[in-house]
Amino acid sequence: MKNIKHIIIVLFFLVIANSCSNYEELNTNPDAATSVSPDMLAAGVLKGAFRFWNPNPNDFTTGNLQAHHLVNQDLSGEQYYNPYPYGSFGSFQNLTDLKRMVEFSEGSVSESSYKGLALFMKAWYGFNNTISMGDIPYSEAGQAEEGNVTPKYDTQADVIAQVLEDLKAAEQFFAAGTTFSGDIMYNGDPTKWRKLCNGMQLKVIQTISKKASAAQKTRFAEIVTANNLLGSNSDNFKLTYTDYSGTNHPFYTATEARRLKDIPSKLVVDMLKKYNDRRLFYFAEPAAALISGGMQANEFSAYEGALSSLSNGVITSNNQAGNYCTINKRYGEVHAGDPMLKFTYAEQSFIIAEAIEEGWVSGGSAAAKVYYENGVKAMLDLFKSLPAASAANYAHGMAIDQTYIDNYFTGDADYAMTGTKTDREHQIWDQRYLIDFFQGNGLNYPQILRTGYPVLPLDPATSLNPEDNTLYPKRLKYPTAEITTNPGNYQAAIDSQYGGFDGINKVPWYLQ
Amino acid sequence: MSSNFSYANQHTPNLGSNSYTAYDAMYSLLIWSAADFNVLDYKNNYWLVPDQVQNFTYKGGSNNPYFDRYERTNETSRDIFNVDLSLSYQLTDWLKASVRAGYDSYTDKGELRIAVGSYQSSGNTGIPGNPYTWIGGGKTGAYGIGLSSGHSINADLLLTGDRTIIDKVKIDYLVGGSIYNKEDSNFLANTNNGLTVPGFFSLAASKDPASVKTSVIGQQVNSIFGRLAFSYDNFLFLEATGRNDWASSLQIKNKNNKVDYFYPSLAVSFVVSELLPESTKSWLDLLKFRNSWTVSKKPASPYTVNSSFSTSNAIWGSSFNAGYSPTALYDAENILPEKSTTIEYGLQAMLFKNRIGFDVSYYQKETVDFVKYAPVSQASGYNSTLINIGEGIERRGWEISLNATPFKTKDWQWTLGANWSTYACYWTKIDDVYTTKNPWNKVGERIDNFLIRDYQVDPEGNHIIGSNGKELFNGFDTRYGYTDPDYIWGINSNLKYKNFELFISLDGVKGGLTNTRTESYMWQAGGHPDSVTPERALDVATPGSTNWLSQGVQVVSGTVTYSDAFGTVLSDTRVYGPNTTYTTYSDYVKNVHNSSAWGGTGRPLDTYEKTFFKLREISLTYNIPSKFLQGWGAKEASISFVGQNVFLWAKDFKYSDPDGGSEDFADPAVRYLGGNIKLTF
Repeated sequence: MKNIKHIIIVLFFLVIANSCSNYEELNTNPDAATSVSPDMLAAGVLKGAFRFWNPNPNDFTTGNLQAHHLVNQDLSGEQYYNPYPYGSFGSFQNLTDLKRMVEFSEGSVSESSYKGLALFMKAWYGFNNTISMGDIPYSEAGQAEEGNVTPKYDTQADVIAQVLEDLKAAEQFFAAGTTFSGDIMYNGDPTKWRKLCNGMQLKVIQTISKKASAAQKTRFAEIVTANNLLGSNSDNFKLTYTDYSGTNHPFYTATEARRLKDIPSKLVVDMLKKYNDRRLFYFAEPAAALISGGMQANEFSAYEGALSSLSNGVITSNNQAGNYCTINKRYGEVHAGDPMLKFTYAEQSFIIAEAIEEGWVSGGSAAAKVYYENGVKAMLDLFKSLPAASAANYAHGMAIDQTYIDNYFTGDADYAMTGTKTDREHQIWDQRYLIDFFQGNGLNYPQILRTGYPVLPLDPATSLNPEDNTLYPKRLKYPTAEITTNPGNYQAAIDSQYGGFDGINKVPWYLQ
Repeated sequence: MSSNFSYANQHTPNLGSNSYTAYDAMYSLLIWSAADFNVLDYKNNYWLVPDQVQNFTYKGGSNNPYFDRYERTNETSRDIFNVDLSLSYQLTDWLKASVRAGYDSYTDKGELRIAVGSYQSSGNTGIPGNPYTWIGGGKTGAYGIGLSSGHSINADLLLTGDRTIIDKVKIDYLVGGSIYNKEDSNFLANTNNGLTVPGFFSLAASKDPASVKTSVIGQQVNSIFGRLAFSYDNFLFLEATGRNDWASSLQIKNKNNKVDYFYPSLAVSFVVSELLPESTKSWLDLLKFRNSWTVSKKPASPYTVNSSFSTSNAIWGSSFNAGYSPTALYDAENILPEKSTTIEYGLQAMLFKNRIGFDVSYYQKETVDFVKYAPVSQASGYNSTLINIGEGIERRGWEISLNATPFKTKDWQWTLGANWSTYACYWTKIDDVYTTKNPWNKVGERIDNFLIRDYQVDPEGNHIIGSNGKELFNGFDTRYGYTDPDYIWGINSNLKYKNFELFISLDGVKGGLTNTRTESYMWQAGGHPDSVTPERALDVATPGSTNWLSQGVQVVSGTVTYSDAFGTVLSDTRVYGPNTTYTTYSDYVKNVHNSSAWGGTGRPLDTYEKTFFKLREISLTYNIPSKFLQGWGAKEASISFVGQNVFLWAKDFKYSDPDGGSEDFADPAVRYLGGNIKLTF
């Protein structure tokens, strides 16, 4: 018995001795890295910035409502003013990842490319944030490690000026850079990034067209002349959906019941009909009631869009009666191959065409026409070139082919050389508006605000804009967290711009 | 020397799903099932094509409930093993040494199986070690397996003793040291993008490479502690304790920082009845007053103080992996453990030969130095900063319990027990920088505010109706009440007559606000019994017509602007007229019940008081007299009829059960009626 006791005591102390572990080792998470490579940081930042924020059918649909590309049976109405009308500075959090990315690449051959990427991303965040909200922190953004957790807000004019400088500097870093890893957009090709940095400067300057200085307009013309720009669809800044889990088209898992609630807007459908544009057959399924009434799926007249200013109840009863066309089945059934477009050769062409019409760039309407036609052809070619399974089979017998593209520019699609400048700009803006159909990216809403075209349907009786039912909103409110985390600078920003009221109908500088 | 050893195994073939985000079958049935089919028609034929195509009225969204329970399953099992050993040795007559060691381990395993043909994905069902399990599987099928296992070792060495120092003064002392070491590991693996072979549930069936996630959480606390207690003449007791802990979770990598912290306690109790005149002894058995002051501390959880990068693989196609830097700024060297100070007063009495007893206590527990990721402006490049936030929160509460034996004879005995408690938490300190600024976060205010986006109203209190005929709601929060209940109570009664016993247990909650999720969705889906109205019938009879007119006013002209985010009016020039705009009944109902299960508080109409009581248990027992047991080998035997969850009364909740505090498509509590036979050998 005594022996057993001794054995137990010895065992007991063995257990204790065994559990006296090294605290530093114990408190290190074995499943979290203490360092990562720069390409991993780059990939994380790029995915965060450019994939759809929450890829599921419901959220993806809401991403298409604001610009009236789509009408949804359940969501329409309030989504046009956005029931969560707050912007976010979350993208600026990535400035820390970008800083680490540059630090970890120091001394490597790709250092210069990563520096270019860091600057480009900062400019991308700054541009999108300032356009959606107004004045924002930019010069002091990303300085928490230096002790500044309450960055001041720069005026929109200053942000834009610095964004342009940063894009220019980024272009120079890419010019000196080599191929780099972790790039889900351009596969690390610095020559494409250079073109993008140049093309984006055009977009930035034109977005502030009402306020652009003479120097900025000159710079615009210089960039066009130098012509190191996106040259074709292969230069498009895009993210192509793959069949790999988590990177499918966001609408892919939508059920048929869900699909039947998403209706292309009357604005889009009528625009496509006007141009005899076969993209309609790629975008939509015909209206069930019109098909049972004897029309064919390859007829333009079998497609009827929903007027986005109707009340929700009316849209619902019309849709349930089969009076509207619905979103093409392709989006729910094919999960890979479609691109999510962020900046395209087509958009760049339309930007330049408008600038020529405005006299920023010489050449006159004859030159503008070339850009207009190149842009349209590129978009049509993009649909023509989609993998067969994902496009032609779903195009209701109206697939886009080269002959169709070659004969596109007739009737309303023919560039209005004999019309007014306004006629021609409307053609340009229509085509620019169509680029983003069912892209979910919301990138063209500011352009609609800037040009006032296309005119978004509005009926004060159905508008849910809480502050003024005769308007669509001009901006997002600042993130609510700023009220508590950065109160002094927040208050100064809304006082100096918006009379102390952080409202969605207030007009930011670039639209004044 | 003594030792214990135990092992338990539990296996549940299908735990089912529960709550909205798990897409519970309750949700599918109650909310989205049409009213015009008989669910029993879909009972034994829920497959159209076995393992592939489901048979149901719906072709998307909701599952056939039978399909859901048999083909979307959540299987779990649990093994628990523990052993402990203690031995003690009397060193001298005033000092005893004892060592104790305990070892616990557990393994939990869970498997989710979503058949191909399920319209619902896994949702957020949760399996062991993994509370969030969005593994998908809608239309494609999915399989997921979760394992959670861990062990802990608790060992201590104690030296104890007691002495009488001088007449009537006794002391009691203890010093000791202990080691507590714990490690938990979690594992989750799931198929991606569906199952290759319908009906084959395995990671080997994954269309894309299966995902695997693991985590290991290890920690250790070493302590030394002591206790010293005095008593005087059995009526005055004093006690002091002190403890110093060294916690691994405070250890910063490559730093020689302080990981230990000290916390003491003091207690005094005073048996008043010992001092009272002898004459009181006839009715007063005990009257005792107690008071204590206790400090406790809680270190940061493991790994918190060490920043790290996170990684994820195959983020776009298979060739890209991602890394993310920490989203919090670290100043961990200055992080203190969270500290709570509790002061308690208590009064205990026993009266009339122990026939009546009660205990009343009041406590206040203030907690400070919360370890918190305090938010910073995201424009700074970080989301938060890890600090001890300068906030203090105090929980104050009363607890009363009463025991009585109203009568007791040879054949009859009735015993009653009742308890009542109340508490609320208050701000005692506000961090000027990091406490969220709003009108309610102030010293002295309660912390459990129920905030709501209330109706917009005119100065007379009429609802303001928008130009679309629907009620308008504020763009800011208003305090609507509190979430914690006013009080909680329970009563149990046992009436015994000879060999029969009747036991009843009741308990309930009064007050406290919460949202009803079930009823809100019943309204929104048009399935609520009260939603059958003449206006709705007219809307349906003439599609496109609008027949509902909300009571309220419309803004004729003018606007309102606010000077802050909490509804302080800057200017208000609104002029009102009666509402004249009709809308559809469906649009009206969806608007006033527009609560979301995905977050945020619901509408005023979906805000209910938790008030309820339950007849939790009623039982009738017959104790079989021992004379009948002779020869059976049993010492005692009884037979009972038992009913559990027999009755529920709730003030506001009509279609769901508020027990549990919040209501999120919970399956109804099972009413259990049955019997027990108990034999003791």
